[in-house]
Amino acid sequence: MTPIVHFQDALDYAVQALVEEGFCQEDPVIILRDTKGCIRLFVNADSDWEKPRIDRVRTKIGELGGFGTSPEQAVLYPKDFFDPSRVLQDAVLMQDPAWASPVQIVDRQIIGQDWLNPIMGPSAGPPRLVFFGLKGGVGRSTAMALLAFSLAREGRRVLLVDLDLESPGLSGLMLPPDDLPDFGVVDYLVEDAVGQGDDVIRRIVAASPMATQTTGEIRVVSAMGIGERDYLAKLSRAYADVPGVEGPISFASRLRGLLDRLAIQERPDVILVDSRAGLHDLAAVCTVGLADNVLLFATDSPQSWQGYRLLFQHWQRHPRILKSIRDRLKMVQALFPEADQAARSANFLQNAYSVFADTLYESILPGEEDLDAFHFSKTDEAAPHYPLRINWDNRFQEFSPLLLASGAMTEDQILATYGAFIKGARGLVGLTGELA
Amino acid sequence: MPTHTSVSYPKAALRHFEDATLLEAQGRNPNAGQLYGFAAECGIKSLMPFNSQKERVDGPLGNKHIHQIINQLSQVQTAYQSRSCAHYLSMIPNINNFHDWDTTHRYFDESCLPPSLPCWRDAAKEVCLMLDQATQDRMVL
Repeated sequence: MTPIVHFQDALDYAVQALVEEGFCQEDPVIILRDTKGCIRLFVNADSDWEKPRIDRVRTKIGELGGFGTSPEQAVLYPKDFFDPSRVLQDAVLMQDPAWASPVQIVDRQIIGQDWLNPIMGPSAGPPRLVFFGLKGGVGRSTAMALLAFSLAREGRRVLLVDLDLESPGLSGLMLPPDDLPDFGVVDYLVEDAVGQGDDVIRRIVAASPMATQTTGEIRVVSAMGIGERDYLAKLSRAYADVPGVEGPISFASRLRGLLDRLAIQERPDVILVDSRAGLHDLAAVCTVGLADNVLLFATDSPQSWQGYRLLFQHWQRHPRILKSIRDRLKMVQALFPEADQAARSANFLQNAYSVFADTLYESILPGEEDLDAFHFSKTDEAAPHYPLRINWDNRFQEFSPLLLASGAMTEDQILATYGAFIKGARGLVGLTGELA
Repeated sequence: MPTHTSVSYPKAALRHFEDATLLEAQGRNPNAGQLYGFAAECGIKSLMPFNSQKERVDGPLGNKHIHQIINQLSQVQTAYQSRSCAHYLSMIPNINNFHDWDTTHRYFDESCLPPSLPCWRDAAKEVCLMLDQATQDRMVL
């Protein structure tokens, strides 16, 4: 009985079949992996090109069972498409440590494509700092609020955007219920899809009273508007691609457009984005598609490292994406415990370094120095893996801006817990010097 | 009558479009327009759910043409995960260009045809590009 080939092995087998026949990445042979994970080939040549070798690969694809394709359907040629040039446009170079050679692949996914769809280069407007975590409850929103407060005290105009649409909380933290704007991000997305985005974009932003005593301003783009009563119905439609003059406009492009428009409308000095947690599409757009810099929140737990390793391994297979994203990352050690700090700090650093070094960093031989290599020592504080730390402080677990306004929370307390984090985050958005 | 197994909507769609462009290049616009409509019809039907090959040909949509099925595009959604569907539908924003297309145009004097050939061509091209995407996704039925 033929052993069953599972998803995780099918692509390896297909690559091996190509390598055994001597095909390389320069040949006009592209692997097509469809939305179910089934594999075919696209050969960008006449159907008699290298026919014996192609036929042997065709037979092997037929042996992949559920993730293969019958030999007669396993190979597509330009004649099978209306515009085969678009297949070529979608092809990316993919590599894996287990493969003898990289391959060209069109990897069609139902969701998650945005983990591989980065913005290239810094955004045109103000710096965009995205707060991401694999899990909720690690203090992202509080850290964002206090960074915003610190920047407002320096006279900065800060725009906070709540894109944690499935678990919105930032606006509740930053805005009293009566101060919520008329609409929220979900309203903008469903209205924009029918050409009515202009009518709501000015009404999805409200000023946070947290900045009232400062010389700056904190403007908050809420997930929902005041009196919201149909949130789930909007959310279920929010992620759609919409038609555009030059083809479909992806959800990622729509969110980029929203941030571009808000940057012009609000003229902030800095944009802080609260991302959805976890390996979710919306998080993919926020981190890869919107951010100039991404803060990766984590506690020193096996789940955190496993999750980040899975994400980084995904990028590792796509060299172009890897190079685009890896220098925008910065770890944040959240909820740093009070007890046994030296050992805990060392553990976190070692675990972070292992994950980054195994996946995102380039390896260099011992004793060699390559200044162009993306390589860092474990103790390099400027390295992406070296964390900004936020100390555990029980007083911030139920943080409210009202505590600041009432004087129940002092500047010294904020600096003791968040000072290092705020200083590091300021550096990421191009601000240096002493904290105000 | 076609046999149920002889029907291939995806291949027919590309063939009709290719022939339409050849006719249009020769100035044979009335029949080019007809074929743009058939290309779009076949492309849409490639993505529509049918319970059987028999229904695909003989069912309520089997003998409907593009101007009769553009209002039933929501059926595409019943077949697939809705986000894929939304993506496919977003690729054919001008499908309503076929509102003034009709099979009876084949009986018309050329001077009486609507001047819609470029619009039909654009809409049929969008359908063919959508079909390419669905072919890569192996979503065509």
